Amino acid sequence: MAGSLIKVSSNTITGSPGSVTLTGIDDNSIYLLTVNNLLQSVGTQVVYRFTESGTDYTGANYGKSGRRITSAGSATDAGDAATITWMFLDSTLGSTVGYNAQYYICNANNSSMETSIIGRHIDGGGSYRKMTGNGVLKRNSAVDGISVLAFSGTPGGGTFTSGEINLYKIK
Amino acid sequence: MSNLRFVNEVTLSVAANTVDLPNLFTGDFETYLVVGENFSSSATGSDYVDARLLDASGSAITTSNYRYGVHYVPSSTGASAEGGNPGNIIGGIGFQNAPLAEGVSFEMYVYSPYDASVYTQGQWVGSNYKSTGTPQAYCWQGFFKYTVNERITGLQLKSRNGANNMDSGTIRCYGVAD
Repeated sequence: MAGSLIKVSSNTITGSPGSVTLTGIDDNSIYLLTVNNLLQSVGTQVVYRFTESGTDYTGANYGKSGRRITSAGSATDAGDAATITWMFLDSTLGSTVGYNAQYYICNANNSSMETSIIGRHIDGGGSYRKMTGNGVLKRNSAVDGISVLAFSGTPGGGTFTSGEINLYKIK
Repeated sequence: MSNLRFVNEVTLSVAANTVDLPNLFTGDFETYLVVGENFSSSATGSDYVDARLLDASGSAITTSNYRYGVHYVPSSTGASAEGGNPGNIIGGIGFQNAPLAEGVSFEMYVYSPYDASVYTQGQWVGSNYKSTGTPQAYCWQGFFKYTVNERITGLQLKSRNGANNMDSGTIRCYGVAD
């Protein structure tokens, strides 16, 4: 069907997982990741990794850049060189006020290109700020999904308590 | 079937410095995409376009329970930011510079508006052209949290200083199906 947003994979969080992985990227379409009202009980941040053959890629080849906007009326740059093992450490989680995000994933299925993610989120908890930016996996590989990880010392070291995460294909 | 579902459309026809857009949000979706196109005035004048939320009875919420931040970037040098910490508006959807045909356009994602057990949140990207002073285009990026657990059913667009009456423009609302 032309001109459609097609759901590929979804996860409504139950229990207390440290991460959620959504796969199903299988062509050169642009994919949209949405995160709705994500909450945590352990950890204060959410980070992202791409998957290759269903497994998180954990090498130090991720980078990100962006603009952080706050309700105090400030806008500042936030970036990392492409030498970290996850993306989007600026994403703050809370236990009662949810985190919300939309991110577009580009060039994922193309094994001869780097994979990038572009979009924005609103922090959870009592943090009144948003981040607009992008991340990149500086590695030519076929990416088939993305993991959303609760960060507490390490990616996946925290726990989520609720929220809904969806992966859509844009056709 | 696409997971992006059309919900409602409102076209302005009567000049007013506040425009209510009711019945955009229902219990059918958690996430909504609101797309506004060319909110403009046939009169002269210029003003910021702000927003407020409509409560369950369709009335604009005017209390100081909004937290928002917006960053706006002109096509010339010099970006600016403003915030409400808290404020009684969602500020800076765009800037209306009448009587240009190119009014304020934007897209805004709104999260869980109909769920009275959580805050309603949203983020937007807007654009406009400003012909007064140094003519230039503007890009707006912002977010809000309405910090009361309350059911929200719509939006109000508002000329910040009451300087402009919006009399044209269309808004479309879509639900993002899980």
